[in-house]
Amino acid sequence: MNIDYVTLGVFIGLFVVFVLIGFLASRFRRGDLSSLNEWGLGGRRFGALLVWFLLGADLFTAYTFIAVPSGFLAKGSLYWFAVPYVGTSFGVALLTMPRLWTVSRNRGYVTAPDFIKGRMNSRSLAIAIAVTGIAAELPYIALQIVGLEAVLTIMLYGLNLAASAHEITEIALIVAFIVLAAYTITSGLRGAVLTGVFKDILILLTVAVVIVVVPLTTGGFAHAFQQANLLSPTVDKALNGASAAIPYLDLPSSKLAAAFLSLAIGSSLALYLYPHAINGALSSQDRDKLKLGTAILPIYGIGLALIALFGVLVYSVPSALGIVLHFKNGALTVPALIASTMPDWFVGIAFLGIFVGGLVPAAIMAIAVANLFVRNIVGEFAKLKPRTETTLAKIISTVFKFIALAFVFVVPATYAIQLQLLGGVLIAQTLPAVFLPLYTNKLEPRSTLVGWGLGVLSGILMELYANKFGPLVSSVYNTTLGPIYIALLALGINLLITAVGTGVAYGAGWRPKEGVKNEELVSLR
Amino acid sequence: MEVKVSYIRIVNVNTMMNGRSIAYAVLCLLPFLLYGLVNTYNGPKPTLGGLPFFYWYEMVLLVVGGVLYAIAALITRDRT
Repeated sequence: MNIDYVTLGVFIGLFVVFVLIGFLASRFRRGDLSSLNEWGLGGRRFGALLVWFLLGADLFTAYTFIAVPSGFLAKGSLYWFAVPYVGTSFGVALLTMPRLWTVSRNRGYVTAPDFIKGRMNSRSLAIAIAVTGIAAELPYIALQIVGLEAVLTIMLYGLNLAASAHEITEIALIVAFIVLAAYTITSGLRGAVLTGVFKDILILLTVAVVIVVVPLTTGGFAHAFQQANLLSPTVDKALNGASAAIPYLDLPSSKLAAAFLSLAIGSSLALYLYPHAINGALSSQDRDKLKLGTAILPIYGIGLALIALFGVLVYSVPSALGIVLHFKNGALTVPALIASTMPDWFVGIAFLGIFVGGLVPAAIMAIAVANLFVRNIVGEFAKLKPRTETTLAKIISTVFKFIALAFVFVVPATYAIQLQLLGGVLIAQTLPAVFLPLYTNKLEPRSTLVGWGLGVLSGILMELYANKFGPLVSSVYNTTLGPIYIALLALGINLLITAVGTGVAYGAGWRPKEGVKNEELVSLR
Repeated sequence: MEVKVSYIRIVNVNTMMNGRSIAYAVLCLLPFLLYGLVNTYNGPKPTLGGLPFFYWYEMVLLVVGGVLYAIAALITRDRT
């Protein structure tokens, strides 16, 4: 392993630069940071490129570096579903976010529940959606922390500090989170977006170099796939407790194909329901910039796809594979592979990239959660002054980061991707309430609320059954079609109830109230 | 006379916007169809640079999707 004190020096030096950018960002496109619109949406002054970076910052996260390669190594081609997920989710975004952006600009909305309250005239539905958004973000933030841990584990192992690794990792995580909280409080979304640019530059550099160097020095992809075929039973044993061959070449059965497609579509429908994604979209300066910034996001997907392939490339680097097997932890795949193939100083750059690749999204998610909590939960019960609102949002964003930090200690790291999929099961249940009213005002709010409730309930029950009430290792439920992503199954129940309920309400004489008009969704006042 | 002219203009703008909105929706949903047809790409051959077809084809689709989305964004711009 090429980890020494040069690696550590580069890592810490770049972290200092990162922190400075975070604090200085408050001066960027300066605004009054005691207003929630300025702190939480960057004053809605981000252009196409910054929107691209901000939304991209949500994509190039520990999900990409740690969770997807780990799942791919442990289960094979099934986990390549992340690629069609990324490839299709921006179509969903383009069909929904410009409308939400427009109505939000017209009416001064900051969050999705603001819109629901105005459009559907239902306070309880708005609160339910806000609570779901907050709950779904927590496992997603926790996933970021799994990523931070993976980097620190390999770093300390390389520095021969494995004996006290546990204590050092905890201290390092707490320090990182205090720093993160401090710059989130002073700079808000501006801090997140500018450090996001810094992070993405490091990451793009890392991906570009590693993806060329590793295949070239280890005999190419063909060799890696051959080795994978040979050695996968060993990996299966260490990570899954079985010893079968893991399928990497393609999806060997139609059942696996059903799971693959449902995971891709479910995740794709879910992405732009997450508060942080909506927050990012709403922070755009104008609608054209939002559309263009979103349209070019699949480019990030190429990076994600290449990094996922590290899960196979690791087979042609025996020392890296050895580390993964030693720790029985698939989450270490990418850091171990980088540490085994790159010079020490470059490892420092790459590790810092992955590290802040978890920190920045955690900050963006915490800001979005805080916006929701203050406006749509506390704000529903108490009238707050703008300044108090912002102060409270800053406190909440900090508290949530630390709650998520606690969340991490209960999920097996190899299946970190399940954290994101669990978030997806919850957030997908807000689709009828958030997306459908962008196109129709004919949804009856109480039916939508009941649909949401039963969607969430059935989703959680299926998660529990699919995992036999044990640790979270699966998010698919067996049906006659094959295993299907629970988010989609629960969404089906949810939509059915919403539709039937609305039909019954219509029969009983219910008619939509004149609230937000259809024109307000498509054209600016 | 004046009123009649502006009326015709509004109708034209509306039908134009409808045509574009439909094209926009189709372009946004096309990647779902391309990825949805799993059988068209679920196989190891032909390989590209050692990568099985299953992998490189889906990466090509990412570029295709980006182009489709960009066209969708450009044909519905507010300002020309």
